[in-house]
Amino acid sequence: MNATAQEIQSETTARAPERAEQQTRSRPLAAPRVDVYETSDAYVVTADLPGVAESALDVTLEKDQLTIAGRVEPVRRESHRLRLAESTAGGFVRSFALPEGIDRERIAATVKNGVLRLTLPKSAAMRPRKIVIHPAA
Amino acid sequence: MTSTHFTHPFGRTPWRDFGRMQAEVERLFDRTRGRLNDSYAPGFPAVNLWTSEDEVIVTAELPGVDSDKIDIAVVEDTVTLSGTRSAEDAPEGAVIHHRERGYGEFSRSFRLPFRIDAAGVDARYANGVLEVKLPKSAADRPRKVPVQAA
Repeated sequence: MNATAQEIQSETTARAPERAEQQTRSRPLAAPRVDVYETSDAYVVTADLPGVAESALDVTLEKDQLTIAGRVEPVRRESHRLRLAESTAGGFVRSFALPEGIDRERIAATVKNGVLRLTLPKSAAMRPRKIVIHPAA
Repeated sequence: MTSTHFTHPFGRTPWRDFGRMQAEVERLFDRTRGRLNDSYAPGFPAVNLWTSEDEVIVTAELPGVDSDKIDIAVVEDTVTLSGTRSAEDAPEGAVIHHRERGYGEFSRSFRLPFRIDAAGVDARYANGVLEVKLPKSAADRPRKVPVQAA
């Protein structure tokens, strides 16, 4: 179990998915902050994506690489002047190497209040099993 | 306590020389960073600020914060955004692999170049972003004085 745990270490890869690359051009891609925890049946990834509409977010699984990518549209206001800009507008991307034993068909993603939550269930074979000890007859 | 206060970041010359003021704000944060939760970037939440003749619009990135946990306080020319971001509650026995998202109390204050019409403040929260419209109070709007013919 420990080996799989280490494999989920995230890596902000230089290679962005094609779509994000096209959209962001020369702008650097931001990496969203994430939390990852593991229970006996699943890995849960939560990512802060403020201002990202569901339609501007792509979650892709390619081989064993899970990628969260998308775009924050900068807000433009005709009648106002922008005086302070700390927010991260533009493209973002973050990739993770998935540990073995994920049930790929049951990966679930939800977005609420600008937070993406991914649940990656472990396949039945990877879940810890309790062995029942029968008393000797 | 993970909140940071700075009251008059813009000093006496609102909006002018913004870069220098911002640097000062950063220094303030640096000085207090020792008391902050490490996973918090200095100056949480990240804020954008727009101005026009009659109002200031502040947007703040507050992903995962329930709108009823956000407090907006207006006193004369100062607006304070504060609240609490609760920790993601991992179930008991869970193994934490990454914890980059900050949590705890936050507070940021901005002094505007005019007094705020508190009754006219409008705040919305969507997709983890808070948007607050702060209109200029009538008392601070320029008034046209009609010249009476003698």
